[in-house]
Amino acid sequence: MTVAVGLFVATAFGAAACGDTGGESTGGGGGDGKFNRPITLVVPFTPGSGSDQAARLVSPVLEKGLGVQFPVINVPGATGNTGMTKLLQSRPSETIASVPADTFATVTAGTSTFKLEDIKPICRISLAPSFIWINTKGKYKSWDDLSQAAKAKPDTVTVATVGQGGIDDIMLGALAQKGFKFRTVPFAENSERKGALLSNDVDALYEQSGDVKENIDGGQFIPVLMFGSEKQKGLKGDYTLSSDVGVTEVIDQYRGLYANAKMPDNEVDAVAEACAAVEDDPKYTEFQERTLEQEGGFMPRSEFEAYVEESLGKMEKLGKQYGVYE
Amino acid sequence: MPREVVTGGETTDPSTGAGEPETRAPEPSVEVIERQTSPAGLAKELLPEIGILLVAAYLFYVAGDFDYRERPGQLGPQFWPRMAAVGLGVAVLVRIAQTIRDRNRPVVRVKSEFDEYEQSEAEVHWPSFGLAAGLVVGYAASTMFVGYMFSTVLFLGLFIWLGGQRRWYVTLVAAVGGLLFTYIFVGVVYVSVPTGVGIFDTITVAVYRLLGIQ
Amino acid sequence: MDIVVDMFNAVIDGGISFWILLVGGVFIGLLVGVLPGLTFVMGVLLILPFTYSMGAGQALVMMIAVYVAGTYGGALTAILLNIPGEPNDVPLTRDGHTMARRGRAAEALGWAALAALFGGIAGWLLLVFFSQPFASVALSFGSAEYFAIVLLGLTSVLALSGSSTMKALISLFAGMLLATVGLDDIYGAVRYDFGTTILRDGINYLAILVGVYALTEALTRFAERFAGKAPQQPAEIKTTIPGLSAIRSRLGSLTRGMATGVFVSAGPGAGSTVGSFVAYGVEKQFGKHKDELGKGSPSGIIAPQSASTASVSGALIHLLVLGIPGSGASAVLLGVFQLNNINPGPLIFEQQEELIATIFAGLIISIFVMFIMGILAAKPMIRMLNVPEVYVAAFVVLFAYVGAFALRQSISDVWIMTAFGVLGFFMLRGGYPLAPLVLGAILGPLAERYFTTTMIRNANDWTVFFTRPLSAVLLTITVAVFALLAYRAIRDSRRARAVTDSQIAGSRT
Repeated sequence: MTVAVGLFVATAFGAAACGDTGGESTGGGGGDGKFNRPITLVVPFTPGSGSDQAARLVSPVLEKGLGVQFPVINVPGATGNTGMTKLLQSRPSETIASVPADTFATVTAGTSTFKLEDIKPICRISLAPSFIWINTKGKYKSWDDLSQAAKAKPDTVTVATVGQGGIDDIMLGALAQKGFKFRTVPFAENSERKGALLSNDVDALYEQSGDVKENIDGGQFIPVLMFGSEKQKGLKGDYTLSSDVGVTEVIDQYRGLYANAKMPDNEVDAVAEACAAVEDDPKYTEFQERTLEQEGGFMPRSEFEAYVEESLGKMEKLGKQYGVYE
Repeated sequence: MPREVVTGGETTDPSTGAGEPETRAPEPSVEVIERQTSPAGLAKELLPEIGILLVAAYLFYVAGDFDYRERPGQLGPQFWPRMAAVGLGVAVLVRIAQTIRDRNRPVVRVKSEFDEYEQSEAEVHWPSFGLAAGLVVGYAASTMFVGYMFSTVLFLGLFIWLGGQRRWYVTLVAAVGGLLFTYIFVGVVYVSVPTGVGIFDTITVAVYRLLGIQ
Repeated sequence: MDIVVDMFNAVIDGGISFWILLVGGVFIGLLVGVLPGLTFVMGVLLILPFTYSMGAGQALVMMIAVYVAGTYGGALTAILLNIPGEPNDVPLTRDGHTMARRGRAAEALGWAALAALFGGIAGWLLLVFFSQPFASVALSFGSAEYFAIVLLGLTSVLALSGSSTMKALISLFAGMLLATVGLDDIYGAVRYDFGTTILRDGINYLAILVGVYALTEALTRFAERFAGKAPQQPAEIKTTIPGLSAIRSRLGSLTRGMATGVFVSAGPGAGSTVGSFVAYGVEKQFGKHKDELGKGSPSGIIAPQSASTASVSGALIHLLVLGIPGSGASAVLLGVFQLNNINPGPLIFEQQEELIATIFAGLIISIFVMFIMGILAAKPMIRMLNVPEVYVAAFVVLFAYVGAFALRQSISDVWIMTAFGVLGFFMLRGGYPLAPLVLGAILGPLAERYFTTTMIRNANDWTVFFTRPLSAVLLTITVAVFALLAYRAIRDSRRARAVTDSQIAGSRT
């Protein structure tokens, strides 16, 4: 008996030791870019989050285009890095991930578990600008109020951010250089940030419009500053543009689909082609309208790779410029 | 506090209370175990505690090396772990002190009618423990190689058989159970359990298809 | 009352599908609650794809049914197998399982069901009649207040001490330290990974919970060669529902539990878990039967369970009125709202009357259905204990394994769970209680997060905890409860020493 168990355990260990189970592509994609195994769509955030909802709407579109299922799994943690680790440890031909820009900010911040060379961008599925929001029942009533307070008493007006030297910090760093020094208070979860503003625990919030839609409609939050140079269609409100206060170079929030760099190019292209259908999918379009994402959010693979590199470059440059990175 | 349930009222030495009027409720019956702990015995008893103390100190020290971008005026990521390490250290020190203080104190155990069922020191058969631990570890390890389906069937079969059930339907339960749960977890709930490598992978996926899982 | 009429209409309008979905949801919720390692968030996620084709009302009814039943289902395994199915069942495990081992399993299950019923009703009343005031109170809670509540939860460790307070504290701090391993949310610093990827991803409290309870239990039974005495079963299983006089004698526990659950859920986060631990601590502090607690007292089941189920409504209020999903399950619920283009918020009660009525109706009916199913399931489940232990143990390992894997689709969590399974075995042998370890692992990170956030927000001015009125009140309560519990613990151990001294003296003469 003990011998049997001993053999079992020994085999297991021996096998585990010499078997490399993550790296090879074992029959997932055929040589012609056709797939015969389902492709897991990794979402590095919790169920119910914006990335999760987007992924669950994209999944059926991809399925229709490629004829295999794209089941969604959630692997939250570390601003998306845990999910990226999952992507890189899984079979390349059987996994893709839906990742927001915030996760890439960790690459330039040096806290990420992956590098740009480890992945292949497939397509961009959304683009959204960021705003600073205030509570209508809060201390400050407009950008003028807020900014004057920030100028007069640097580092006292609080803004809820995602933390960890992310895009929020960089953009607020840009404002700081123009004289508006806010104190950033990090909250890992979107719901915590919103809650903090709702209970006036902080004075303002850095967020995309889609993530606070309920509060906009409910009249609880209003935008006071948008990071960009053109007002966002569909969003009412008397808000200032960052370009008007001297911040013209902004980093947008975007979401894209990515594959493991080891996924063969023809397979990546096949997925990218199916991804194009997302742009016209009625349910996804409705989601985008509802979450006030920018039009033209979709970008095909041919342009997207360059975009990601450019975006990372911008993050690095601005991060250093505004003192967020050393 | 001693339970109110009284099972007799006799102490281990019946000579107590002889001739004295009963002025209070009878005491629950107790078992008194005398002991004398030698310094060596004490050290052995305190080994885990000393180990924990050392670990706490080590973790406190390591916390100073956390790599992060410092922001002026903020506590940093080492504050909380250090507080916890201090708490741990203090608790262990008090515990060690208590143990030393009580080293020669007899142990008094209140007998209760449930003793039979609650022997917390039920005999542990160490080889069996080793076997169980080996099975569980083997289960986890083998999954990466042979895939969840095979390793589950294997594990169930071995565990049940080695646990004492030597009847033929063990294999049946194992096979059916393993397949059933694989179906539920992969097909219904979609937990992406490993499918193994090489031939195991191929067979597993074939079975998936058979069961209707894509 | 208008609202009752509306609810009635909503049920009629829902037709037969309302009932099918509701009962199905309760069943699924009970199932995922019972199975160790599977959480009710997973249950909610499981049905999510099916809800895409349903209307908002139907989807929400089903999901809320899963949610509610999930807070109770775990009590069944906790009582019968000594394995809490969910984190919020940890406090009731000791009393529940002790009762089962003494032949009172049916009674324990009955109390759990009843407590869930009462807790659920209390929460429901809050939701239907006091949402707005509750929401306003919730809005005055900031991170300082959340910290105070979590701290209150941590003090309940003293109620879980068993024989040695110091050992309980050691377990607690160990749990807190373990939870710091991995990437820190606020600074992005990697803590205690010692260069390995497994540790870098952190130690999830569920992996610890499943490891030290489910796996340790299976290992222990195997190691004892399945010779341990199974829970004693009387020749005939008595009716499970407690009688009126029994209820009257435990009314205090019920009330305290419900009140605690409601109160704690004013802060989002680990609502049902924190509420459950705090309720246990409060019971140990103020309960009429406080001395029985930990030794097989029904109050040890009633208080935590009623608190857990009551807190569901608090989470729903956060979601409906404030649009803030406090917990994993309510985040998925929020997704359903958004998918159907409905916005939670203060206006939702006016704008979505029919939907709200459906939700209210669904919730209260789910609570009753959960109660009935729980009672009906009691006897068959007790009979299941006749199955040879080895099969139970084997399948427990199976579920533990999948539960751990499903956390983040990673085998690392399975390894962590396995390691804790072995650790738990040795902890028990050394007399170190397991509940504080889990408590520390769950509440430790929350406490750190709220504490650090408060300090960052206030430039390290720690006096803010006392200058904010609400926080000051809460902290004072926490300190008072802790001091009283500590005083009691010391006084009891002094008394016990005096008693044993006399017993020793008696045995020596």
